[in-house]
Amino acid sequence: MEQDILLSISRSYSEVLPPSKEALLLIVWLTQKIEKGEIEEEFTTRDFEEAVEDIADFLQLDKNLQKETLAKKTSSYFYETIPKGKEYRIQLTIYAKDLSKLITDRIQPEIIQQLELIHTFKRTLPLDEAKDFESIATFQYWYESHFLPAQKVILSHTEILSQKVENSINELRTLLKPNIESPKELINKFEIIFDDLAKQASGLASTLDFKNETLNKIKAVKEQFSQDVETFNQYDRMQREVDAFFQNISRRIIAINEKIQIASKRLRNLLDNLRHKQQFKINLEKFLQTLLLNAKNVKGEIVLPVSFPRREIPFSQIKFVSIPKIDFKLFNLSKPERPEVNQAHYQKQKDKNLSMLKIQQQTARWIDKIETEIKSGNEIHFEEWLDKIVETENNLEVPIQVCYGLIQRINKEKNVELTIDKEVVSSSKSDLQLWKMKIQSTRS
Amino acid sequence: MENENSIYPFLNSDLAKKYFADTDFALKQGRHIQDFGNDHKLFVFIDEYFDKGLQTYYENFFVMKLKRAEADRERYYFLDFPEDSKGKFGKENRSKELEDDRLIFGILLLNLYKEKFFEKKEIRWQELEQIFKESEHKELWQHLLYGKVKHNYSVNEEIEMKAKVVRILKSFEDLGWIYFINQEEIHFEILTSIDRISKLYGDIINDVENLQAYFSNEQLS
Repeated sequence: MEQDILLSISRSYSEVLPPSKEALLLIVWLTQKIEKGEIEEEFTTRDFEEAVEDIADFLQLDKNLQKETLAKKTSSYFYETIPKGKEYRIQLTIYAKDLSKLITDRIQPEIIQQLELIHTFKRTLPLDEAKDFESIATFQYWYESHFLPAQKVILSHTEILSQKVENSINELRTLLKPNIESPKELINKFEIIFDDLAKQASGLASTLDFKNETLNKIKAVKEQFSQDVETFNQYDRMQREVDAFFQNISRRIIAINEKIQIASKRLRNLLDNLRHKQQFKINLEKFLQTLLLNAKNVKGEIVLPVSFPRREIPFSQIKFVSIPKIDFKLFNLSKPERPEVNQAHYQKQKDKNLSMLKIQQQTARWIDKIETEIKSGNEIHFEEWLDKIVETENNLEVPIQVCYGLIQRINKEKNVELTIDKEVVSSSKSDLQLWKMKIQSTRS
Repeated sequence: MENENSIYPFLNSDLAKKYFADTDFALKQGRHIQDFGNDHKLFVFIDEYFDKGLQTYYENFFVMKLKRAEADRERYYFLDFPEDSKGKFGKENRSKELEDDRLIFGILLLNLYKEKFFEKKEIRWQELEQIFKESEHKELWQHLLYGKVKHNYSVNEEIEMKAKVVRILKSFEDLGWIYFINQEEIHFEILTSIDRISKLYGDIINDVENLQAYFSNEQLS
């Protein structure tokens, strides 16, 4: 559905637009002749032929050939033939006139060129506080009858001004080209152009003031239109529209002004060393071209021949020591092979270790217990303790380890005495024989 | 000390306490200092004390020249070797050659800077791309940047080429020759001190007609 318009245009493309330069010039020329009163609104076939001859003269073309061709090419969309009394007259279509105006305004905006932007603002955006803010209806009237139409004119003016500045800057570049004739005269010519642009630029500043003033006036009546929600919403919508448009215009004006200022400043500085600058620019371009011709791409690096002289600059880099982050990117996902396990042997070793651990644990407990007894001043007759340990632990390893541990510790203690009586004592709880062993504290 | 301070009056200044260290580090790392952006304060300090001992300081202690240069009526400062030696920067890792790719891009940017004589010196990626792909010397550029000349380059080739250009531009930013307005979009401003490259290669640029003599030897570096 949305593509219907595209389809229609693509079908009538060759007809809605003037098919040639000659046809476009003819339409514009006829429009201007009517505006100047040189021919009537409903003009004659003779008038049409004369206009074709004018264009053919201007373009230095064959007159006879042009008349026929142009009349055919422009007939459908751009003019109509209407009867008037006994004869036929020709009238340009509204479409032809509008198109002609659009083009002339864009190509040769005479009025706009002469006027500063401030005049466009003052003419298109007059705001009478007493009348326009009388009610929301009068403000709405100002918005629709002044602001909305003015938007188009103001935007068009800034576009034209921006284009004009851009064109002038492009023309300025010719000054840097070699072999221009009479550079001084050329610069003088450009100075006139930029003086004109500078006038426009000074007008831009007052335009910004005027714009701000208008916006402030609108913002100042906010209270007045805050009586009810509907009125306020209406006011707020219009105020936001105006604000957004002005912000857009501000950005455009500032950009245009900046361009004018830079170019004007440069132009003033140029005359003194124009020749030198031209020559330097030529040399620079040749240098770049020669470098490009002689450089090569070697394994992704741009390299010049060794014979080319390199220049050095001081460069004492402050070292930043950091651990390099190395991303190997490739890594092995395979897991190491697990050795085969003999489960029976594994379990046997595990039990053995646990048993040893238990013996060590119990040995330590018994030693602690006996030491507490010694510290309490009690005599220890180890043969008695031996029976007690064997009975509790149900093995011989613990009492032997306890005996050994006690002897080790007592050797280091000054206040404990170990007395061994070489009288053999047989344990009642095991098949073990030992000497009598008495341990006691010597502290009084 | 009193005597020394009369030779190097900048040492007595409050500005030196604030900015001398940063200025010194920047100059020794090859930076060109101009009245722009974050370097503004360093510029003000050098500009004030250039003739009040700062120039002498580098001459006496480093046997180096602190130079003031001007382009388009804007000043910039940098450290340079004396005519006949490299001063205290003669030791290893205290100087570097301007690499071949940097030289070519430096001359390209200087050329663009001169072309934009009447405008702001802003460059966007599109403008560089136009030079590499649509200019008179597009084939030479493509050969250097991509290693081959084709109608269309793959996404990876484009990414690699862009990365190469960004690396070069970043090194120029370190030298103070450009300023990135938006690094991601490769939008930057060429600064006045790009003029330094015309001083480094001034003799060759001014005698460009005889430049081909340097290339008689085909051996690449």
